[in-house]
Amino acid sequence: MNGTDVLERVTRALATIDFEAAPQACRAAVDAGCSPKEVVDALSRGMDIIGQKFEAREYFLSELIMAGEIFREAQEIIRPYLTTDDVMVPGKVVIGTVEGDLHDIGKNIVITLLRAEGFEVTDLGINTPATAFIDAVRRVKPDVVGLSALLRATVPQMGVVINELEKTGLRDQVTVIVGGLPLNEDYAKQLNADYYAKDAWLGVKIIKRAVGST
Amino acid sequence: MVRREDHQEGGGVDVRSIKDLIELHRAWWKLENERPLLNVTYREHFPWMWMQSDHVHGMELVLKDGSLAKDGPLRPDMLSPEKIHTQPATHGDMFLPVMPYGKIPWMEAICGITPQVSVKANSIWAGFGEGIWPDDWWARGMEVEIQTEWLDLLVEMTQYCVDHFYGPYVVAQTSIMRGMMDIMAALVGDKNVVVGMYKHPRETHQLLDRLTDIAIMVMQAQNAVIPRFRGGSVNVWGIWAPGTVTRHQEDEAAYISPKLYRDFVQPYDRKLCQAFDYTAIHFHAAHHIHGDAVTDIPELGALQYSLEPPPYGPTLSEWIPILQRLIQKKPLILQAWYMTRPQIDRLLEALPPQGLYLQTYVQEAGERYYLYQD
Repeated sequence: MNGTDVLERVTRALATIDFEAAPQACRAAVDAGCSPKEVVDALSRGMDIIGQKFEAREYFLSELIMAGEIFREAQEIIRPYLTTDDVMVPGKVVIGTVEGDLHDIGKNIVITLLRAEGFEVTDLGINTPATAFIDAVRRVKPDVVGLSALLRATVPQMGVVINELEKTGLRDQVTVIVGGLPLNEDYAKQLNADYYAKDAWLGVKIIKRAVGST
Repeated sequence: MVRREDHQEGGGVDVRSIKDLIELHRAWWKLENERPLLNVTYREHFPWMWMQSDHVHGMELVLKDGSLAKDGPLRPDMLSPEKIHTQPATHGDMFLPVMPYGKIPWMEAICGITPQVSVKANSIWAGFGEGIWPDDWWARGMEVEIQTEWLDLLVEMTQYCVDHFYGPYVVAQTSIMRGMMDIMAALVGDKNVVVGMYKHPRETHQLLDRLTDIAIMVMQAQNAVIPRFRGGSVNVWGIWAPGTVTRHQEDEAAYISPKLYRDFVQPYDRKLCQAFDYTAIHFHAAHHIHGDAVTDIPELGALQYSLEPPPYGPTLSEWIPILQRLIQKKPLILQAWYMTRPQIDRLLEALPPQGLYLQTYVQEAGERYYLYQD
């Protein structure tokens, strides 16, 4: 089996959520002389297929979660083969559910997918006050701040966080992305956010684009 | 199909007594009611104006001498508190149930997950996100440790409701009974529920089965202290049934595929339904993908959907064919926070009355942002 074939196996195993075949395929790819970057690229192609199937409603959030988990495990397999040049964190993200809101499934799926893609993610959890976001931005110096909410009543808290970033002079240093069912593009603009993501998959795509990793 | 105007003009069953209301509910469970059960409130504040205002229940006004009031003047000396409060309160086509305090996540607390109060979020929550068990819970033989103090408190609160409110009101189980997938998520975390279903199916089934036994036990403990009412009992939506009733929810199922629901959740929803006479499962709009699977449960009594507006779920146009299909199999309890009158009419025209229960608030178009969109 040549390198192209084994890399196709990697892509296919991830795209079909075959959690047993995926690590085997990754090991086979490394054994066949494929570079870690080639394996990661093959996994990324598999994630693209996952995303397409999610958008087509063939896959559901459970499949996104599982794909993120398989990607994470695959990275563990190729980690020993990485050289210093290979190790690259595409970006740093601070993310949390805003104050007054306790819902976190969407946020957690975004985190799983971002970590699978190699992002360094600081999860501030649920019911997060604006001050906690500010402290985290000062401490972590992220590229992106992600704000999540499910309840319509808590969406204004996103504006509070963004205002605090303005007041403290941190707003220009970060890209702010908001996500959550009550939101839309117009609402995100009113909040002075940079981007709005209508679902977890799109959120990850936007973040990757924002940090220039795609 | 039955139009709303039919009820206002008396074209449906003319329900005027508690006995008639019970018979209406009895027929509803069997998909035999001639008109839908309606609980439609015009605007959200007092004074409430009922769409079906000519069908006021509880008009069996018992006078001081024990006779029923007839048409004519009413004087204070004709009434006594003891007699007048012999009829349970009703609200539209439903009984008004009193329930143990509903904000506490009882099932999670009973299963060992400490509830957390959040004043800012106006909520008491348990087990969000990460869960309380380690990622390798499946390898450790983890056991659910039942917290009897929480179970005892729930039973005590149920008994309190019975002691203080039964008579003028009916008493029902607490309003939010989490289902097995919800409790599993609170224990192991959202992600590990999915990972468990894919990678550790045997242990996941074992845990869900154990949680089902606990849920049944908690429901039975509440039912044991709730008196029978007219030979049956009333669920949290105020619907009487000629037997035991329950209501549970599977919020976490919103993010799993229909296949995972059928493989991992439906068997335990069924087991719970088999343990009681008239069960109902609460779903949100996002759960529309599981409607077929859940209504395939032979022992299920009814399916309740909270029809949150888009983007939380389908549009009304998308809902109608789904609901038309599901109501052929099971009674549906449909709750929408706000609908316009044309939207209500459209729903009532599209769905048969048999097995339909609609609870909503009427708002005029453009009155609120949070309108049910089409």
